Amino acid sequence: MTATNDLAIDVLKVSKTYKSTPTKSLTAIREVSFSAKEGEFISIVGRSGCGKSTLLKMVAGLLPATSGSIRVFGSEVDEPLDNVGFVFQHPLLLPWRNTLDNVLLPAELIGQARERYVERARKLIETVGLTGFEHTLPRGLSIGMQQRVSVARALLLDPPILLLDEPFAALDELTREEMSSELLRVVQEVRKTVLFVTHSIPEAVMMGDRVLLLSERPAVLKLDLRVRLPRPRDATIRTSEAYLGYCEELRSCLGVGRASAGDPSRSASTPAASPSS
Amino acid sequence: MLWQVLLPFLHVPRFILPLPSEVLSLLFSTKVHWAYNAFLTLSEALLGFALATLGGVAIAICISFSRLVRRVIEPLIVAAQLVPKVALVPVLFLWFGFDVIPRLFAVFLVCFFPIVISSTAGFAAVDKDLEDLVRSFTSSKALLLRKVFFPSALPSIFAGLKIAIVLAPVGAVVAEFISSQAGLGFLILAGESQLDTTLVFAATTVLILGSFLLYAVVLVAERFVIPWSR
Repeated sequence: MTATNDLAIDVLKVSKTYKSTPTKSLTAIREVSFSAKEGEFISIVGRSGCGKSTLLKMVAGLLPATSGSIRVFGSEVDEPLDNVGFVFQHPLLLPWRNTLDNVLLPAELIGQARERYVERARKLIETVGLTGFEHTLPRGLSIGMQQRVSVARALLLDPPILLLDEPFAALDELTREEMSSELLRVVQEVRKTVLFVTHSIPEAVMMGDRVLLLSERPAVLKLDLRVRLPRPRDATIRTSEAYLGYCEELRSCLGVGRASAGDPSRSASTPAASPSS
Repeated sequence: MLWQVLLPFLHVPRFILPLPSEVLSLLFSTKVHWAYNAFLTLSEALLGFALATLGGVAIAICISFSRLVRRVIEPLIVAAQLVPKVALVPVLFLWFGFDVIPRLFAVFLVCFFPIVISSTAGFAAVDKDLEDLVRSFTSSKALLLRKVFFPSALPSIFAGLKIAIVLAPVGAVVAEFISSQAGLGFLILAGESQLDTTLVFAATTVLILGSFLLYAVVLVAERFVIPWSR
């Protein structure tokens, strides 16, 4: 433990290099530094394939960093963390388990009696708006509903940190909008430190206290934008002057067409569905 | 029908092609103890298949969970697969005696490989992100296997079982060809040696029905075990 106790996540000069051949290597991320205070919501934006997901996985301890250091609550990350909740692009539910059992999976895996968590699981299912679907198998749920289950699952053990890796990427546009307002509500309710990876600028601004903008490969931190919009927020924020200003600032920094700047529904994302960056 | 009606006019010798009516009447006669012979062959097939399932899935688990085992065993399995199993059956009798064991072993050999291959594929197909997710909660391989990997692999395992169960009676019959005093393979061989083609056809019919029965058992088991998969 060091003096940086109030920092939930502290990323210092982290790089990630992949060796493609013995002589050639590919730098995905170069010397990225940022830190997140406890309870802070940080959106990370960048084009598809720029290494956003890699960064997230390194914070979770799922991938080792090539250089630099990552600390979570003051201690170095060197193995998969069990105190973070992770939501991926795809719901990744177990098809033989109903909603309740899927949400309870983390409790079973850490060797806890599921009875201790059933009450909490039911509450989370209610929070994500799936009451009545406790005993439905994933195949009976829409992708959007499945993703809600995976959010509930990520929250089951009440982790102080929530990592969201493009959680809406697999959803259609309408469901996506609905889900992001929904997630905004849930996250404001549970108050966690959140890293939210997305390639949608409007989503990033709507959700985040700060927006980190990553450049194209190799990803370096281009902009660390503080979003001073009042909380609690909801979808109506999308029409406010300040919100549009932030979006515009991010767009111009990313160097995308100004023509679409006035239209908040158009994201700066490339629609290319690259699986994970 | 056409066969039954036309055959008498074509003057085909009976030992070349028997009349369906003759085959049927033999099937329903008491001249041959069908139930006993079918039971013998099918139980050999089922037992050998069960052993291959246990062994095959166990090996697949070892391959999937240990890099060392994968390096050592996987090439051996590929090599062993190239061996014509049926050609080995006579040797099995030399090794294990002219008893039920080499017959089970023959069934085991033909069933084992499809089960290993598809089970291994099933374990390998578990989503990488899901693997990361569950591994962040526990490092207990036994727990992960029980809660996540084994159920995930079940659809693939059943795909292998459905291939293997069809091969199982073939293994049993080939073994009976080599050495047996009873069973459907024995009847087929006996029929051939006496030019009793009617017996050959009748025994083959029973074998087909029996194989179908075994296949149906696996299908029902699949429905029952993995109702969530389609």
